[in-house]
Amino acid sequence: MSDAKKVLVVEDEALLLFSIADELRDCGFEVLEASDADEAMELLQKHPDVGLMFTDIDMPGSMDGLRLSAAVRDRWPPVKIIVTSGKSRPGSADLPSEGRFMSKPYTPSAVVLAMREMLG
Amino acid sequence: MPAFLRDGGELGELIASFDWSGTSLGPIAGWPGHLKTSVALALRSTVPIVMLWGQDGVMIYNDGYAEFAGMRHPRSLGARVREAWPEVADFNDNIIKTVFAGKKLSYRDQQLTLERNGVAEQVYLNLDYSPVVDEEGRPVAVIVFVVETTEKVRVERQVQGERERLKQMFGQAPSFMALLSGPDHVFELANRGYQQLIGHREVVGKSVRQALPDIGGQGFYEILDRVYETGEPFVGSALTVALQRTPGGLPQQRFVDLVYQPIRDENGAVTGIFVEGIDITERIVAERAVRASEAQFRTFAEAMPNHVWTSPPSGELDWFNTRVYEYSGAAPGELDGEGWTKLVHPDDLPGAGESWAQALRSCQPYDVEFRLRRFDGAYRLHIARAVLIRDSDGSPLRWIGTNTDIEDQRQAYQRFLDSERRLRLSQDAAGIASMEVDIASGAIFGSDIFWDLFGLPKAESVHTSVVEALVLPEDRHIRSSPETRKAGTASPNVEYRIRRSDNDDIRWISRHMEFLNDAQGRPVKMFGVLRDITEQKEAQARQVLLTHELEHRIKNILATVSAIASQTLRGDNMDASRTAFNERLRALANAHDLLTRTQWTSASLESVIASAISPFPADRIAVVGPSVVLGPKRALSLALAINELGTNSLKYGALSVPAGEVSINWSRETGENGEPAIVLTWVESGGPPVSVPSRRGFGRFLIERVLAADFGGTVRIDFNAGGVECTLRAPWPTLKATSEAKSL
Repeated sequence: MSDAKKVLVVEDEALLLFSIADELRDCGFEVLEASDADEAMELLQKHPDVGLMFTDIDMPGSMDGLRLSAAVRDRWPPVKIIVTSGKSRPGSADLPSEGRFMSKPYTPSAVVLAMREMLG
Repeated sequence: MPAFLRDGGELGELIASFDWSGTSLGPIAGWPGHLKTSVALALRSTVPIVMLWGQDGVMIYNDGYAEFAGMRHPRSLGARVREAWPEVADFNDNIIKTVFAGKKLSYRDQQLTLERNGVAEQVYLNLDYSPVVDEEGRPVAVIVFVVETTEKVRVERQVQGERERLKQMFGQAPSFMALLSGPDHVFELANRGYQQLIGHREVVGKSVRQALPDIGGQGFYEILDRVYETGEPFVGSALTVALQRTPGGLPQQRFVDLVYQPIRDENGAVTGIFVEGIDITERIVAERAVRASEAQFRTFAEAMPNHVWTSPPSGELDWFNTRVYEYSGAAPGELDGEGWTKLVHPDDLPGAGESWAQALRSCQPYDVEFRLRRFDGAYRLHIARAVLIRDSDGSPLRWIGTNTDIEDQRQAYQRFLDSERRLRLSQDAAGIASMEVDIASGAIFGSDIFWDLFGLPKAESVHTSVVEALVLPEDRHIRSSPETRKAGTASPNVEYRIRRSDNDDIRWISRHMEFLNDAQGRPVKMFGVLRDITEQKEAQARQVLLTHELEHRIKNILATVSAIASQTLRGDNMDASRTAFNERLRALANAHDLLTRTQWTSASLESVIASAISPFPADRIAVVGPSVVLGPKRALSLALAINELGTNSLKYGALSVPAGEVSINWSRETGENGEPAIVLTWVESGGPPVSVPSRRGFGRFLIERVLAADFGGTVRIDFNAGGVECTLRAPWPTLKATSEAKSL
């Protein structure tokens, strides 16, 4: 296991997913990519060392980003969570505890900064 | 025969031959001188005479009496009177007794019942009883002079009866009558009618001037004087006389018709005046009342704003008030008879004429509408009504009619109808229902649309509770309630949901209403308009959704643009980067254009490619493939990929030389898993020799990773010497994922 911080990016928009994933890799993160909640859950199952999940809220599939976050908070409490959306900020009740919200469009540097803060 | 009986008629002979020895007088030979003298006197008288001699009344009579005695004669001669006339025995006893006492008795028209001829008969007699005395003056007999007056009495009685009847007739005649005599006109008679006229004053025996001082100075004395003097009768009608109707009362005015008829004696001289007349005051008063009522009617009729007219029962109009002449401009008399028909509109005349004829026949009220021509030629609608006036005994007197101008009302009513129709049409067109709630009864009266709105069967009215029951329970508090309606506090504008009665659809209703208050300000009615605003509500909801969606889409686009920018603008060559960035944005924009046309639902693969290659020399790019529909995400991804391939080709590949060509093909094949698959190829030819690029740029990132991911397949780029070749293999695209469109 390397020292690199392992993060999971969940985004149904391929261009955005690959772009931010590449950006994060360039900044030294080990990045897992998922295009929906089901894929994300699978990857978390396989990689218990994921320290942070960065997920879009608005996604097709069995769960949207908020429900995914709730599920992750429930099953993997240590995993930090950042949610992002082009829509307005959800109510704090909908956000996972200690979760952060970033509105789209985001700059990769802001995401990197937030992740570094949260992962210590 | 003794000498004193000679020439004594039949009775002389009978007396002579009668045997008097059986009587108290004894034989004739022994009769004293006064007896013989008396008998001789009686026998020679034409007056019926009987003598009753002595206290026992022995009868001796003459021929005249014999005739009177009828069948009693000759038995009566020499008989005692008591026996000869037993039916009047007491009467005769009394006579004898009285006369022998020295008195005379005399009876006029004495009624006696005698049986002279065997039957009782009523007779009337004048009877004179006086004594016969002897030489010493002593009464010795009663001499009776008998004159029968039966016939005279009968005639007198008859005359008296007739006079009585006349008097009765006179007294009870309905007219007043009086008989005046002499030059001073002294009342001989005044009948009941006359008494009534003069107030039951006692006038008989008084002169007119004495009896009736109150008529002095009114010319009646003078007329009577003249009639008396000239003998010319006077006839006066409707004379006014001021009379005391009660003794001592104030004079009252009466009207009389009377005749003063002179009465003449057998010599033709005027002896009196017969007055006869009738008190016509009541008639005159009634006539005056009629005239007054007529004047009143005219005044009233002239004061009315309506046309007023009259007609005799025959139907020829004979009077119109001034309004008619003012309105029509007709000259007086011009409308009389049937002249009025000239004012009636020719189209209305037949109906009006028929109605009038019908009214005249049936005596029922006349009621018709017609147009009447005004003086300026304009026709205005009138309602004509007439009723038949009857006199007290019910016979038709005349028609009184009115015409009322209803043109303005008719026009206003028409305007009202038009306006109501317009309102209804516009409400119908706008789908607006109107209703009226009677607050006291809770009844709702609705327009046609009202019933449609609630899905209720059309009815005259329905109770509010029926409509209230259709309102969703959670919205019921919004609606008016019986309490808020009565108090007038119900909210004027509300929106609530109902469950339609007919199909259980949930619909949104918008209701606006106003109260109608009574004089005390209490609400009595509620007028409302209602509209089904379900579509509007849904549109609003869609609008909200769309706004959110649009916001999301823009944010996503910005995120995409942001990602492209950060990927594109990282090199050192800013000019090249800027150009590449602009081209990528243009490719993105073109793809957006395509998707906008289908509201971001889909775009055909062919159109995506055609749009994406439009900046390049299209004549050297061959595009062949079957029809495929792509969702937005794939369309965008493909557009960006083709742009990258085209840009690269224009810079370094086939499109960079005039002879170079590009071929874009796609086809439907069966994939390794047996499912339908698409294989799309980009093949360059005729270009300069190809060298494998030294680094992987954003173009390859888009093509190899993003395009492959979005199509869920694989992308392979071959840098062949003859030209670049790019192949996409993916499951055959379908539009099953509507969520894909939504997520964009």
